[in-house]
Amino acid sequence: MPADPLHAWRLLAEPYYAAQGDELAAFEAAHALRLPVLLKGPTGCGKTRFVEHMAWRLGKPLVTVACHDDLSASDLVGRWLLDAQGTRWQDGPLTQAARHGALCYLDEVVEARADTTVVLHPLTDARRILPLSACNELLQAHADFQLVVSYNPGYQALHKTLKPSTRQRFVGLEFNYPAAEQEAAVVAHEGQVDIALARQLVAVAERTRRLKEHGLTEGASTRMLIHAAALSRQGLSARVACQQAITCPLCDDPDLATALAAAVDASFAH
Amino acid sequence: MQPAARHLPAYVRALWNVAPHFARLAPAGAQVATGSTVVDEASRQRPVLITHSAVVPTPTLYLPVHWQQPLLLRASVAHACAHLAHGDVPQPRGKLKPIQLALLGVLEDARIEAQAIAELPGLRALWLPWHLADASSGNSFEVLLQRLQRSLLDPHYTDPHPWVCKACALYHAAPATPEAMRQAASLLGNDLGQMRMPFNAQLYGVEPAYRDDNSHLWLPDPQAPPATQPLSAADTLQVGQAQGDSSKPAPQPIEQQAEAARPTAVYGEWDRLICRMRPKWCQVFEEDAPQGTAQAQQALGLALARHAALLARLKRVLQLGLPLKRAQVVAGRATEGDRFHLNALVHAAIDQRMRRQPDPHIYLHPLRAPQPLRVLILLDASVSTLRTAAFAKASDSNRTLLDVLRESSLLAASALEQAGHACAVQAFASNTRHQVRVQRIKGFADRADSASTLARLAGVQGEWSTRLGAALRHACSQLRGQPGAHVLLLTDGQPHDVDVHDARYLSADLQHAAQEARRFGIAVSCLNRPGNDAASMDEHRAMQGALGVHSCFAMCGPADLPHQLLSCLAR
Repeated sequence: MPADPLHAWRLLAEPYYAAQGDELAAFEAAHALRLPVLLKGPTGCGKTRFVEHMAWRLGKPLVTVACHDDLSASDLVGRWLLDAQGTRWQDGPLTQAARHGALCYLDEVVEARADTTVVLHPLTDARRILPLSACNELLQAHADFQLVVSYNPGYQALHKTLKPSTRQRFVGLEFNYPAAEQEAAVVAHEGQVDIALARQLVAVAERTRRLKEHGLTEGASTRMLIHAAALSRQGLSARVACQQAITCPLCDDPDLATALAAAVDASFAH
Repeated sequence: MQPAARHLPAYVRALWNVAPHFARLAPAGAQVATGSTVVDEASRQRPVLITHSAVVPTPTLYLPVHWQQPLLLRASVAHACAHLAHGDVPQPRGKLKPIQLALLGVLEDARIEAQAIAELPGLRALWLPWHLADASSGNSFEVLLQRLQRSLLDPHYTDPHPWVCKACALYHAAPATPEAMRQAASLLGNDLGQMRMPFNAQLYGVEPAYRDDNSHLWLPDPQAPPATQPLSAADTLQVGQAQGDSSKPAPQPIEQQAEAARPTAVYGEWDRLICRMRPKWCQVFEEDAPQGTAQAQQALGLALARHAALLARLKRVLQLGLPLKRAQVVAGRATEGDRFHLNALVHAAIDQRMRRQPDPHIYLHPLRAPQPLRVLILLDASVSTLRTAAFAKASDSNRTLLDVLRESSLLAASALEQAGHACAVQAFASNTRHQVRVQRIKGFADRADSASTLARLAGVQGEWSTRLGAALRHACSQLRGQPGAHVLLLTDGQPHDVDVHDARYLSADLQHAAQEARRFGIAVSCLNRPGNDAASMDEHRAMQGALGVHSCFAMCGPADLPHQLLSCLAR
């Protein structure tokens, strides 16, 4: 019995995830049919955590790839490597997932080059095959294989959007930041702070989100709030933690940075 | 907006989700000059907030123009927004005396600040440094008010004065409703009257400095003397007990009049006879173009639709024809290049060992992206553009040159925008050096096909003359320091103005302005639409002389636009 090739990708403990609606059931239904799933939503709202949680619930390994604009098809599919004996084929993460049966999660898929997303096409329709032309193999996807991709429609980057031929192969789930009270509960749990501070942090985030389209590309994400909460648990004052975790990373424009810093100052007694 | 105030719109949007209009309050000296009753010096000037007005649709905060401290501006804006968020509609003054009006203003300020602090606790630290009055400051009415304000805001300060203590107790006991506040102010005002406190309603100014003058709390008073009628000192000196209802009229923000009299910018002009710049010579007034009729707006929309094919060609030409700059990033493989693609080399080595034909694409392929331009289109809106366009077809022979220029600018702006460049459109006309008018039609952030752009473009009327140099200098001042900056003039001939009688004077100035622009790295080009006669061709040659032969092109018809525009922008 060979060792589990996907052992490293298995989740050992339950990743914390607070459901916002019926997305758990929706994902399970899509998984039962092995339909590829597209997750849309702003950065840091919990898309990756949701996929981890679902992989754990379904008991499947999760192969994740963070896509970037230089990600080539061979980075996903695999490549020939040289070693002392000659050449050796190494499966890429997508091939690994398809061969051995795993959820394959491509994070921020629009960042990848257009030719990269095309290799997904035969895998994401009824054929469920992955042609490996480099090593002359036609791989039939494992029965457990399912593809999940995420992207953030908020970035209005030029020429960065999914082609219709790609996006029409997916079923979609829309994500957003949780409602204030629920977001506070998430921040309190993940940042391990009391709920009163978590509520204040969520109020700060809502203030920054009002500046979306008015200078900011995105407001503060739930992830940023958890960072701020964790920093304040290290002993920083909430105001300093917010400046460090929220206002400084959010923007570079000096006027907007001043406005954000002043808004944080106004939000906490000092 | 002064640099210290530039963060304020984002600040108030984040905290209160409001977008009030910020305007400058003219210096106090100017108020005396306009005959207003307010005789305050600059230090006693207070911001003016307009919350509910039939004339001004959005709330407006007028900030004294000389304020430079960011913390003072921020405190003032936060206070005004607290009024907007927690304040009430304006009330009638009724039988309240000036002293009670002042007291009610103080209590209302304390109420809205307390409510704002409940939501945003950090605001207390923003406001507190401006409250400095304490027992050592004196016992006059104004100082007592300041001590009361500090007691209401600062939880660590207790004032020993019995009236201040009573006022605090009354304030805290009363429910936070306007009626209860009115009741409390009435009681406290009577106390002050019995203490024989002198109160000069005319000289009374709200303290501390960050607070607005509270004029927005009250409905306009029909019995108040008109602002133009000066009040003598004897009329205004009152004691709290005194009868009468001659409350202080609210200071009138004079932004509008001041704006009308003050140019947006003043530029020098080159005098070719003395070979020197004449400093501060041309006054430029910048304003939004008026809205055109719905009909004219619709016609422009239709023109955009009619020229869809031309627009597509323009866009393609711009995408393909503009100079490409080599970006730092590289992507993909190429058969030739400067740097090897390491993976491609590995693959080639593998192919060789496996006795296959190696792929020749072993170099990095440099990614080429078009350099985004920032084009400001300056549209000539002088009276000469009202002549019939020479190349109009018989079917639309009543089309003026201005119509053609309007359409060309719209098409150019649209195509530039679609090709990924930034573009703004402004129109200009001049009436002597004292009045060069620049009308904003489209900002860099506006869309070319939006209703507001079309309406403003339709609203541009041809009048006055063409003082190109001043308009160009103003355009350059907006673009200075920005990469890819480009000014594109759309005009109908040589510069001209009624106060210049030397035909070569303005051309020489234009030449000078264009040279200045190029020194700042701003490209200048011109699409000229000369008439068919010999004199017009001479004018065109003079323009070419001023701007350079390769920067000034004659446009003979709309079909010329793509390659002429490309020739302009490709430089």
